[in-house]
Amino acid sequence: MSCDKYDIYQAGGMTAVEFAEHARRCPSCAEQAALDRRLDEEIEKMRERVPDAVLWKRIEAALVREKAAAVGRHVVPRTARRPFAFFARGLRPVPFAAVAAALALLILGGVYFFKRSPAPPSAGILARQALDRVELKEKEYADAIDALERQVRPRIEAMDLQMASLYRDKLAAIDAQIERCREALATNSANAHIRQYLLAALQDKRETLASVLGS
Amino acid sequence: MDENQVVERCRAGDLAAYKQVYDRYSQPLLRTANRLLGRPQEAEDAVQETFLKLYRSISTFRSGARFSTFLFEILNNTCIDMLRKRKPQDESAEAERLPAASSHELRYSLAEAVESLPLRTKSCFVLFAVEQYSHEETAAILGVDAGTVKANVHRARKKLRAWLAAGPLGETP
Repeated sequence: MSCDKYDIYQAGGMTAVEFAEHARRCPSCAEQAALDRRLDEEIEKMRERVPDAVLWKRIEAALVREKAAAVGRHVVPRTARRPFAFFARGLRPVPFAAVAAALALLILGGVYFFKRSPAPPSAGILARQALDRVELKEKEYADAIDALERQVRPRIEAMDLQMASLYRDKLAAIDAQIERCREALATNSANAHIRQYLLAALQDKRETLASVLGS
Repeated sequence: MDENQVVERCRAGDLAAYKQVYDRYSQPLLRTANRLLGRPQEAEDAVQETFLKLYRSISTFRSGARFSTFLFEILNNTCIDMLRKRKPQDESAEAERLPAASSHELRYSLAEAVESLPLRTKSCFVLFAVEQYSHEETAAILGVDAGTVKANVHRARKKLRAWLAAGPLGETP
């Protein structure tokens, strides 16, 4: 290329009209402009859809594992080994608010029950009863999910290898999260924070199993 | 649901919100990673890693900033890390490259031509010319100034024009 007018035009040093006038007399610049138009057409084709059939499933499984690992990092070791370090290092605002709200509800509920009941049981008994109710509902929910899983497992096994592997990985990650929560609850069964994580994990599992039934 | 609400739900760890981000951005993310890395399998890995990094760093995202810029900045850094980790003579992975000859010969070759550009030039070109971010947005994603983006896009276009001029399956620039 012997003429630099096209570069000057692209850098804003010439108007479109001036360049068009020049290009009529300059084959080199006319060719550059034509090549640029062709390049634009090719760039347009580069915006076509890229195949991504199972990528979201991979990402979702990775995020579930990450979430489960975060539960393990945040909750289990601290409460299981050093309960006071949990407060010393500072709670995140939302879980703290949730725990505080749960405690406030428990206290208010206790006060209400105490005032209306002629022979109020002790606070310890009240808390135990509330916990028993939670554990019973939790067990019923977990049993229902287990029953659903027994129905869904054969469907997963019948899927193609990659999809089956994705579902198995995801369910294994969720089961690991559930197991970690249960281990933590074994040492502190009244921890509302861990119960929330357990509920989230059970819901994740139910949704995953339901998605297999729906697929 | 607008983008701010999706971001807030992402901050809360809601996987459905991440799916919305995926639905909205997976294609431009995959295309960009494909162009930067030149290997479709690695591009998918880069996008997956981008989502994990997004999950870990969403708390650092400032409201008012542009979410797509934040997301593409993570992707760009992920791709750079992956390119750095590549072995210099990674011949086994050569088979994964986009094929040079097929019914879409010109496009694949153009992809190869783009891939052979220097990394900074390539990043600027892909984000500005292919994904249609402005000079300023591209600059924010890459952590450079807008003038650098303009100069690199100009350089890329000049090289690609030269490549086109050499023929449909012409020499790489």
